[in-house]
Amino acid sequence: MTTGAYPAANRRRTDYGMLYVAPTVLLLILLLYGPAVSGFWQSLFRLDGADAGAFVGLDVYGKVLAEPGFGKVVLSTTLFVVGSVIGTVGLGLAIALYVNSLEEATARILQIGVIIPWAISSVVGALLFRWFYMSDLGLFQGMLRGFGLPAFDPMSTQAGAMTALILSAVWKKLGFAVILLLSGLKAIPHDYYEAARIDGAGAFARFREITVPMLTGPLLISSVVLGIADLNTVELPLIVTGGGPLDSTTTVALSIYQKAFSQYDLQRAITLAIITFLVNIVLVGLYVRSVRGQSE
Amino acid sequence: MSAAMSRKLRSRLSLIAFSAFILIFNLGPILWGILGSLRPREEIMRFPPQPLPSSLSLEHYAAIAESGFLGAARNSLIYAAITVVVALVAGSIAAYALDRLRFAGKAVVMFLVIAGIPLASGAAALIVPSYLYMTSLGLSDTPWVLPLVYIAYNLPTAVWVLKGALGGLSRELDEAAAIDGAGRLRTLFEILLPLCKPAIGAAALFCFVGAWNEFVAGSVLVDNPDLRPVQVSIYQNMGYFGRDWGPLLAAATLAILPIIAAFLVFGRLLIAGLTKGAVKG
Repeated sequence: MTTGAYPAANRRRTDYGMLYVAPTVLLLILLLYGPAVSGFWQSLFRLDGADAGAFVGLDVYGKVLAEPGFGKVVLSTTLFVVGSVIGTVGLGLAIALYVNSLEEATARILQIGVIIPWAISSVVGALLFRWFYMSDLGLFQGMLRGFGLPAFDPMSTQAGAMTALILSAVWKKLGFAVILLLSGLKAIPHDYYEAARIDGAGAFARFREITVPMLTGPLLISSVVLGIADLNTVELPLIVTGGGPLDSTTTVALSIYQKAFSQYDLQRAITLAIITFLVNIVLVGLYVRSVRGQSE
Repeated sequence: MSAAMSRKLRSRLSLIAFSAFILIFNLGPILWGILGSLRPREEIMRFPPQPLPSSLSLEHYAAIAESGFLGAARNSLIYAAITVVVALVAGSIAAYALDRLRFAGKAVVMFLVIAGIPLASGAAALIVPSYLYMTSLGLSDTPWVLPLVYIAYNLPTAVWVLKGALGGLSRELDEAAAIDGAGRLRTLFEILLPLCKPAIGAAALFCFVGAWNEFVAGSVLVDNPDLRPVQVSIYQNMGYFGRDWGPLLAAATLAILPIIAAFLVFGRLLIAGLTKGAVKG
């Protein structure tokens, strides 16, 4: 880059670069990064009540972390996020491997088929998921009865509700994992498989020794992106299960949303939000590292 | 039957089984929802459910039209259009600088853009701070707040997709344009961007879908019913109509129509854009 074909044009007037990125940088700092930083600052002060504005430092953090409800929210969030990511990436990998073996035209139709639930909104997706899979008027329960299986109400048990919530996330995001992993599979040179076959490696050995290591980047990126999305989704728990029964599907995202905007407990909400934000930062860091690793 | 024929039959059968799985698991809820929106009211509530409607009815669409849904849809179209235009203009200029120019602080800007992609889907963590921030700026419940937030959420993806496309164009194009006396911005808008139409389409689609589908910020940052976006309207109708599924399914169908239409036109672009890997989940 230092002495390219036309260094003069690039070396002079480098301030143009700053000027060109200025609108983007301003918008991102003012509207995306600004609220996050100001949120942390504001979480250190009393937000409402008689002593509004008083400095409370990390007191509320200590209080929120010590509350019995906090452990429960962490548990249901972890179950939901880990379950959804494993389910989505696992099923997505299986489908991607299958689609990769198909001819171009069929593969494209199937890709568009799996991506549509990802493209519709979470509100509509959650509504339709409930209507189709969970309602006794929906086709899924009807099909279960048709196969002689007992119809069941997933909301009658805590495990059933969590399973339904996880499945709604898997259904919604599956296409994203399929497309990402499929492009990773396409990038693996065919010669590798040929060479391994000549060396006598079986299908499973080829999968384990070539596919999995070559797919580490896409697997990591899709897991991280899905993890962030699942950690932060308000719509799915809000609409699919409403957080119940007995708060068993109240994830941290739903908890923040409800605390702030139905219980008007902004202090606890912002404290939980900043704690969640710290987890987000770790995941975003992982994401940036893996994206940079991919593009080099 | 010969071995080759039976293998062919088996692969055909597995293709059919797999397509059926995709259709039922992925598209079932959507198709069932669209069908439901067209059923007469009493048939939706009939138990057990019938696969096909006995007759088609538009009564649910009439009911949802009276609920303020159309105004919300119009608001969201406007918000999405503003998001697309601003994100593409600001994003393409920034993408050009990040791809073609050297300047101080470039690495920092690059980081802000890449980290912004997943950060923008961190709605839960950001929404309470954003609410306090926008309120203190006096922007809450104004017509500007949602377009601004949607631009910020979708701009990083637009920059990333456009930068990828510009990076694939030869720098000889820039030189030729410079010899002809074209400035940087003219080179970008008249020479380079017309050559990345697929990427522009993909970026526009991501921005449109992102703005059209957003719920959390829309439910919190505006209160005035005249400013309400489409997803919030659907959610509020869920409370209003309760177990009366018909109007809800009609609203859901109307809300996915633009997405399905965009997909039929731009589906391949979207998949190509997604393949870049830098997209919200």
